[in-house]
Amino acid sequence: MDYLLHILIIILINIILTVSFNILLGYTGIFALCHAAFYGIGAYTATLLMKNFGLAFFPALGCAVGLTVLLSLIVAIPGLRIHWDYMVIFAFSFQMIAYHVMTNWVDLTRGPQGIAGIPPAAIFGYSFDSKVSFLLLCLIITSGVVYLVKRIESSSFGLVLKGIKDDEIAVKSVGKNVTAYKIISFMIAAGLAAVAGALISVYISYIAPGYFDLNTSIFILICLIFGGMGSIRGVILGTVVLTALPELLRFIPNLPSAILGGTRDLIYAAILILFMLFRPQGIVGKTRQ
Amino acid sequence: MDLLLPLIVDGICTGARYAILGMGFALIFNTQRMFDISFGGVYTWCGFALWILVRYAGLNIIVAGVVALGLAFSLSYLIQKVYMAKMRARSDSAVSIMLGSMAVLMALEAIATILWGGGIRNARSGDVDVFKLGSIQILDIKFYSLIFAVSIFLLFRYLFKRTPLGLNARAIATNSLLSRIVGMETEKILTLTTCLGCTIIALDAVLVCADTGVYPAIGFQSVLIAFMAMILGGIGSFEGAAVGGLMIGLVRTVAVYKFPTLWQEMILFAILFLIIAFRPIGLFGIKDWKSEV
Repeated sequence: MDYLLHILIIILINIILTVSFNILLGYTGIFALCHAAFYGIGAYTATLLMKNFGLAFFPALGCAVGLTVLLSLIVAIPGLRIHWDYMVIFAFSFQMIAYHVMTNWVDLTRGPQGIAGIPPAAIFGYSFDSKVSFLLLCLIITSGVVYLVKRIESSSFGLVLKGIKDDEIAVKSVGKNVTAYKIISFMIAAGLAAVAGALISVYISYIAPGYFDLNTSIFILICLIFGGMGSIRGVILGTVVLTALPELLRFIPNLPSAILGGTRDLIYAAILILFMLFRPQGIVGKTRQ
Repeated sequence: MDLLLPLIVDGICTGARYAILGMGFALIFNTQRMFDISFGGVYTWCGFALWILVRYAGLNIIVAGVVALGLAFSLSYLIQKVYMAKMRARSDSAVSIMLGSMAVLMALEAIATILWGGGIRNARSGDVDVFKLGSIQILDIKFYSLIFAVSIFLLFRYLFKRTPLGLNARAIATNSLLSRIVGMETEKILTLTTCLGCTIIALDAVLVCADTGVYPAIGFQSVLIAFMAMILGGIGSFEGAAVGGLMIGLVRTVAVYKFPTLWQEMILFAILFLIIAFRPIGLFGIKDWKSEV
């Protein structure tokens, strides 16, 4: 039962990540493979504030979101003005830089050892230290995020974002500042990723750079492709399936961990290969082109 | 001072290896104008092929190297025929091509992990020669990589300027639709140049496997270095990729002189980041290469 709760909590946190990445890739069409970097920056900021300055969970969460949004501008402002091909590599190098800072800035982040003993989330003296209560907290926050993204999708702001994906020049020609829209959508996505980061750090009460590497960014991307870019229902479905699927591998007895990791990667790769070839719009997505 | 000079020599040799990667990727990119990164998987498999051929089949390392390169060519041909050609026919979106090829890379690395584990595999142990140049010592394999890099550079210049294949490839890069209209078999030429590029990149895998060893995730490392070399040199420029690779090798090795080794890789990414932010066309890039396509 505990195990089931654990998977549910991880699924909810992953949903925040994928739904926010969907704003970037699904609506605006920005292919920035650095979402795990924002996730990590959020997690580390919240953790360090809680551990070193004794901040409560929610103020720390707020600061983490603020800092991540600010840092996302480092990628967004130069990156979104240049050509698409460069943006991909630009975001990618940001992901690698963030990972290397987390690993090598040992004084601040304790390096590959990670930070342990993060206090549980608490509000007005009530501590979310049991799995059930934390699941409820995640459920509330995740629903809030999904509702927010749904509102964005149907708002005029969201329509402009979708317009940018379909035909950037047409959006420009009706007088919209395309770069500003792109940067704002980038900031929103990064801020939401930081929320997920703060949640995972208080849930596991331990963080290490390995959680926030390129593989995590790729995992988020595969969830989107599997479920269907641009459709919230699809993305949530993709996240649930792809988070739960590798857990089934754990029930195979005596599987060495190297083979376990390899098999999981192979499953993800196979999904990506098949979907890119036969159903690039994902399970739920509409047919385009 | 007595430390800096050997570091520079070592940096040039490492840079030569990176130049090989950059040139191979430039050959792929300059024809396709797409980021087809499936070569990373070929890289991993070619390295492991050399290891198996030397350690288990007991072949001489030079023979094994040639066989491994042949296998790399066949593998990349298979990838192109079975998957990438279909992807290219299906969509001309650069995102799809990049994602599709990334999936191939991930799959090949995952299979390598399952088959051979995650450890480092080396094709040689002990039997290394050292060349002496005055007070400086160079490992034989590093010296050979320098020679390979220079010969590939000269060969490519000849290939692109003089041979029909090179001229056709350049035509496709400039205007693939028009090339098809005048009756070129664009897909065939594209596949051929891509496989050739993969094989050249795989040559670096052979060198690495004989030097420090290969592991499954090394294919992705090769993709990163190839990207860096090409962006630093300038997208679309073949000579630029070679110079870019050389510079990255130099920076990476000489940086040890001033910075802790832990930050080596981070410095490379920081350079890449700054270059894209401030001079996206690179050092020798063609301005607005996108507009000419």
